[in-house]
Amino acid sequence: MTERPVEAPRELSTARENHVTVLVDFATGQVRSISAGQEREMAEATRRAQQDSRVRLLSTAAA
Amino acid sequence: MRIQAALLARFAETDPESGLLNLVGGGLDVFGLNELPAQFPVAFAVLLRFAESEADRTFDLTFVLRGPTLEPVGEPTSFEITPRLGEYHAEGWEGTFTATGALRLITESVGTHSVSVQIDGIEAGVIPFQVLLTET
Repeated sequence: MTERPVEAPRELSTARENHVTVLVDFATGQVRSISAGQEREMAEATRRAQQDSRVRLLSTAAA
Repeated sequence: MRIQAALLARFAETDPESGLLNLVGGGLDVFGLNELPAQFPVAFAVLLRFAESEADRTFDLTFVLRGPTLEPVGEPTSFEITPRLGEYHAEGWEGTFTATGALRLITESVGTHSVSVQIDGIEAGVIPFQVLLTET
């Protein structure tokens, strides 16, 4: 039996370029669009703000 | 246009190259706070499906935060999206659009809350969550 190399599937979605990244602020009703390449910075700012506010993130699925 | 999934998460992004949704801690629905009122951001992801006939049409996406008695909290927020049929679209199938980022939540009391997601003014999905007071 011979083994044939299998090409790794390309991870692609039909959603390509069909997305937005936004910061929605219910306090002001403002929405700010996050430009490409700044998503990780926003995620890090979100994590820091949660730490500063000492917010615990939990789920009702917890045992 | 319909919502296939709407979640809060520890981290959410759409990878711009592949279009794939990257989620960490998806489905969180309890916030433990040590004081109220409070304002804090949380990551979210909304996965939308649209019919071929809806491509290149602009839709209004509105988020409304609701408190324990379903009263609106803060200001409703809206933005426009225009889905397009992408490179890998299969004829006869729905297209996909993702909205990710952060919601800056306002909580004034403990209890059940929700984020209503409306498409052109009609509620298309709800993300429920609870607010608890915890000692941390």
